[in-house]
Parts: sequence; C-alpha cells; structure tokens
Amino acid sequence: MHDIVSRRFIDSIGEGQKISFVHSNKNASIQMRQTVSVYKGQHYFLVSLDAWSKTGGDMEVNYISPITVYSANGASCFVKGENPRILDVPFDNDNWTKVLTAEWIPGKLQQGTGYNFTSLYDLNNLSGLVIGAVTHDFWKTGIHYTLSGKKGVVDSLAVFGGAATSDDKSLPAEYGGNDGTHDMVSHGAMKGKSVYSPKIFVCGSENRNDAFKAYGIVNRKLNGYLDWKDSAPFYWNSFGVEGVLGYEGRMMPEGVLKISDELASLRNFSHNKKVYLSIDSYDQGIYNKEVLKSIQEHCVKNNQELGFYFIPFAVWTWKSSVEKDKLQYTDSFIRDVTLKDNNGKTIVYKDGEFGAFPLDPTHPATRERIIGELQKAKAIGAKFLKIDFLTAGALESSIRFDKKIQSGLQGYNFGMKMLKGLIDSVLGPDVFITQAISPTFPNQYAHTRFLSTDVYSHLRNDQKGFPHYGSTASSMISSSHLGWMQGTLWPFTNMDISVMKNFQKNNDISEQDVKVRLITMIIMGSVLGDGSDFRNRVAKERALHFLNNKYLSEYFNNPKAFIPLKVADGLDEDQQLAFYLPGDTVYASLVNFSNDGSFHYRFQKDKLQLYDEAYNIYDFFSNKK
Amino acid sequence: MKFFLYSAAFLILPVISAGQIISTTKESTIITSDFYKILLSKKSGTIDYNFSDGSFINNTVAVVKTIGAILITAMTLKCMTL
Repeated sequence: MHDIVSRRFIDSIGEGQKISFVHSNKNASIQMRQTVSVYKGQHYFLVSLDAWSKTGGDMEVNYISPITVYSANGASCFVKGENPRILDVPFDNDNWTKVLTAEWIPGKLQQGTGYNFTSLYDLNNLSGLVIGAVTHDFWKTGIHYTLSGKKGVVDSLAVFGGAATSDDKSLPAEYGGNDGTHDMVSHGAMKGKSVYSPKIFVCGSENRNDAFKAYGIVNRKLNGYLDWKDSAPFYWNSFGVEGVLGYEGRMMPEGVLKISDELASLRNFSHNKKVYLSIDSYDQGIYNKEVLKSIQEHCVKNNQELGFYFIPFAVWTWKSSVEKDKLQYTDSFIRDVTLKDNNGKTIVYKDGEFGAFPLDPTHPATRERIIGELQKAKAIGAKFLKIDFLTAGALESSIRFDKKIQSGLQGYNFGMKMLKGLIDSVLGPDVFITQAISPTFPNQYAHTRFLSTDVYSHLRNDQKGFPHYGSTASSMISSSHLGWMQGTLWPFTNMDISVMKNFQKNNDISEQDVKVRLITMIIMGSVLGDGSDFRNRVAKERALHFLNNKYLSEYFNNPKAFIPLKVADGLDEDQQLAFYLPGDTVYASLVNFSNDGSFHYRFQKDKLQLYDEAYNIYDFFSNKK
Repeated sequence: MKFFLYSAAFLILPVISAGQIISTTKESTIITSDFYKILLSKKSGTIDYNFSDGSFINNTVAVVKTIGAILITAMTLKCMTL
C-alpha cells in the first residue's frame, strides 16, 4: 500500500509543499516514507527517505537510498543531449585523483561510484541535472551508476547513504584506485526505532552552473557557512620551498625572515589586504615555539601575520611508535586513541614505516592534542590555520570512544565542530581557516578548501623533468567543474600555492607556465597563495612582475569564480577551457593545455551577458587595449 | 513557459502552491512546475522525475539494507536476502 499526504511548510531554505509517500504492507515489519519537498519558484526539489519498525523495535541500517533506478525493474534514466556525460567526483581532494567525466561508449556497460554529488549533463551546452546530498551529519553519500551502451541511457543509478569504499591499488585512481572514501571498515550503521537517509537535492537546468550554485546555496542554508568579512587574504606557504621546513636545511629561520621582508617589498601585493606567512609542516627541533614567536614578531613589523599548520585527526609517526609512545600533549598511548579496523588493530591511513594513523575525533586525547596545538598557535600569535589530512577523521572504525557516534562522517562532524569551537575559544574568531586534504563536506567549518592538493605549477603531468602529477592542467581537469563552490560552500576556493620559479626540488618552470597557473587561480576564485623562495633572483623578479602586478593584486582582494563555458572532458591533459565572469567589466578567459596546437573559440556576446554595443577589450595583466 | 501539461481527466484535487501544481488521483499524485514533473504512483510505489530539457529518471524506488544484509524496497516492502 502506498499512501500520499501533502502539506505546506517553511524551512531554512524557503516556503513550499512537502509530499509524503508512505509505503506499508501488513506483512512487512517496517514502513518507509519518501518525502519530496518542492520550493516556491525554485528549479530544484529535495528527496529523502525514512523508515521505522512497525513493532517499535530498533533498526540497524547501513545503506539507505531515496532514489534508486534498476532497469531490471522497469526503471529508466535518460540524459538529453548530443554529448551526454556523468560527473564522477572523488570523496576527497587527495592523491591527485581527478574528477571523472564518464562518456557513453556504444555497446559497452560502464560502472562507477562517485561521492556527494553528480551531474548528468550535455557537454556541448552544459545543460542537465545536478543531484547531490545536502545533509552530511551521518552518511557518506555515494552515487553508483551503470551507463548502458546506448547514448544517454543510464542502466542503473543509486543515490545512497552508506558509501564506504577501500582503495583498490590494482585500479586506476579515478576508477576505484583512490577516488573512494579510503575505508577499511564498512559504513557504520544507523541504529534506532527509525532511520533516515541523506536529503538529496535534484535540479534540472539549461545551465548546469546555475544548478550547482543552487546546490551549494541549499547546502549553505541547511548546514551553515563560515563567512570572511575582510578582503581575501594572501598567504605565502613554506611547502613550496621545503616539504618539512628546515628538515633538509633548505630554509632555516633567517630565510623565513628574508621571505617576510621580500613580501613586504611587494607594495601592490601587500596593499589593502592581510598577508600571512604560513609555516607548513616543519621540523619542530628547529622551528620551536620561541623561534616561531620571533618570526611572528618580525612579521608584525612588516604588517603581516603568521600562519600555523597542524593535523587534527591523524598522527604521522614511525609504525613502531604507535604501540609504545604517547600522543603528543597527552597522557594517552597513541594505540588507545586511533581508529580501528575489524580486528581491533590501528588503521593505517598513510602507509609506510613513517606513516599516518587516524585519531578518533571523539576521544578526549584527540581534543587534548588539538588544544595543545592551538595553544602553541596562540603562543606564536598565529592568525591563519592550514589544517590537513582531515579525511583521516572521517574513516569508519570498528570502535570509537563515544559509543553514540556510529559512523565515520558523524565522527568527523563531531570533530570538526569541536575543532572550530576550540579555535574560537583559544585563538578567537578572526582566524582564517583553510582545509587542505579533506572530504568536500561538511563545509561550514572553514573559509576555504583546496579544490585539489599539492599542485606544483608545471604545465602538464607529461612534461619532461617534472612529476607526473600535480600539474596545472591536471588540477584544472577537476577544478573546472568546481568553481560554483566559491561563494556557496566557502567564501573562496583554494587552488594551492603558485611558485614563481620551482616547487621544492623540482626543475624550474617557464614564465609562461607561471602566468597560466595564476590565470587558473583567477578563474577559479581562489585565494592567492604562493610558495616561492624569494631569496632566488629569478623568483623575486617574477614576483615583482606577477604577484606585484597592480591588476592581479586588486583582483585577488575579492576573487570570484568564473562561469564555465567549456569544461574539462575526460582525463587527458589536452584540455581547452573557456570561462567568463559577468559584471560591469566582463572577464573572459581561454586556457589551452593542448600540445597539439591552437585553440579557436568564439565567445558569443549573449553568452557573456553583453548587449549589442561596442566594447573595449583589455589585457588583464597590463590593462592595455 | 510551461514544459509540462497534465491531463485534466485525471485531476481530482488540484492544489496550486508556490509555483507548483499538485494534482491527486486515485492512482497517483503529480507535481508540475515550469522545470519538472514528479509523478508518485500509488499503484507501483515508484516515483518518476521528468525535467524540462527532456531528461528523466523514471520508476525510481527507495531502498533500505539492514545490517543482516536484508534488502527492502519501497515497491513491495518484501525482504530479500542479499
């Protein structure tokens, strides 16, 4: 029996009508209710599911899907368009794993699983559907799909809470190798007299970017948003110079002071904005509290602030140390604070003799350690935090200190809320927070999040003499689909740091590659971060030319993500991209990563929201006609 | 512009609410707007979603799996062991 009841409602999103679809059967032990919420004047609607036991007993559920299509059951899904695609998004931004744009192949079934959100769209005009979770309090949301061999036809589609996938190293990164939740334990079960699914946003639009923006705004209205009132900060980050600052002696404290002075000499760049000197991972034997404090005092004289780096939910240490050593700042053994696999053993988050081990966000010792780190940040006067390896805190575990926390994402939410509360109480509210390696959601605890991590600024992964990962082209394969996050989920995106000459020990990049990298940061609405060693003459000269560029400096006071007109397609690096930003001054940008030649693209006035009038065209960097 | 039309023959209780028209019959409820049409079938327990560009997701079901690997769909509420 399937009954339908509808009623008017008002919530934090708006006013609308809620239609409940109740499924019951006298022989069944449970009842289910699908709820479709439609909102006044909106393109989108929300779908959710809850279920409860008819006997009043507890249920235990670790998979729940409000929208499932099985073609075997007569269900069907079709994406209109000449060039249909499905967007397959990784759970986090780690390991240089890219957003996949799966294309239909005639006669071939293709399966995949993406996370949190997807789009079924036409590549040619970027119209289509956006589907994604807007609640992130318990479930990791997965989107499992099977594309049929017939163009535009989806054989199966399941949008579900309960995604927990291990990395299968035998597979390519984007196909199960590294794009999942990195779990070793199955998704924690929701227990209780009733259970509920994630709320799923569904929107069809002629403009996919509008649908994504609406998705971001609904997330923001339901879950919150961490606003930043000042102009966007600029930050210098030490990771561009040395992986662990001071460890190999590449940059000792006096070098950091020199960087501070060089930054201060870039007048346009430092004008009217906060400049942060962000110390990344560092050798604590060299950069002790006193040294960091003295660097901070030097920064203050240069009208700069100091940034601090830490890892709240994982500990990097020797494998042998996990069992015998105590967690820094606490009286607890590391082994007693870690998340555990099904055999009760500590989960290895990053493997290696010196590896990373996930900490239970609900354990009091994790909290103690965070307080210890924040007190250190306070002692050195830090006003900028880069928090990293957050995915560790979202891992599923066979046991947690707080038994009420039943899933990885519930634990991560608990941890992030605690962390933000501690930052506020220890450091105060005027601290800029950037998330590096992290799941996309929850979003409401930081001012920005890296769209992809560890970008080294060389043009392409296949460039001779450079790493086969971390290029600008590679980062844009993902990021060109994610600009909508700026202003909806976070005030700014973060495209990671540029470098003016070379990243750590990598070879030198060309001046053109520096320019391309900066253009991609402009396009994506990123905060401007740089990791150059300005002690080097070439790096300094280029910094004067690029970072101190008047127009670039002004732009990064209030960066806005451009609207995509042509997005990345596939994993190949020969991407040719087009974007624009409407307004009194319209910005237009083309980026050509192809080795094969020129990129011809015709900007249409109506697409750029221009009227049929005469316009002047200026170069962004020189402001010349 | 209206992309979707519903047949008046099926209409029992139309509710015009906030840009959407909700009509209910013995067999279904249909929510229609400029942008989508959603059909909830009381007969089958499925939901159809149709969008203004011609894309659709039809005959969708809700699914729950319990820890004992029992799968239950909203269509029948019958338990199936996986």
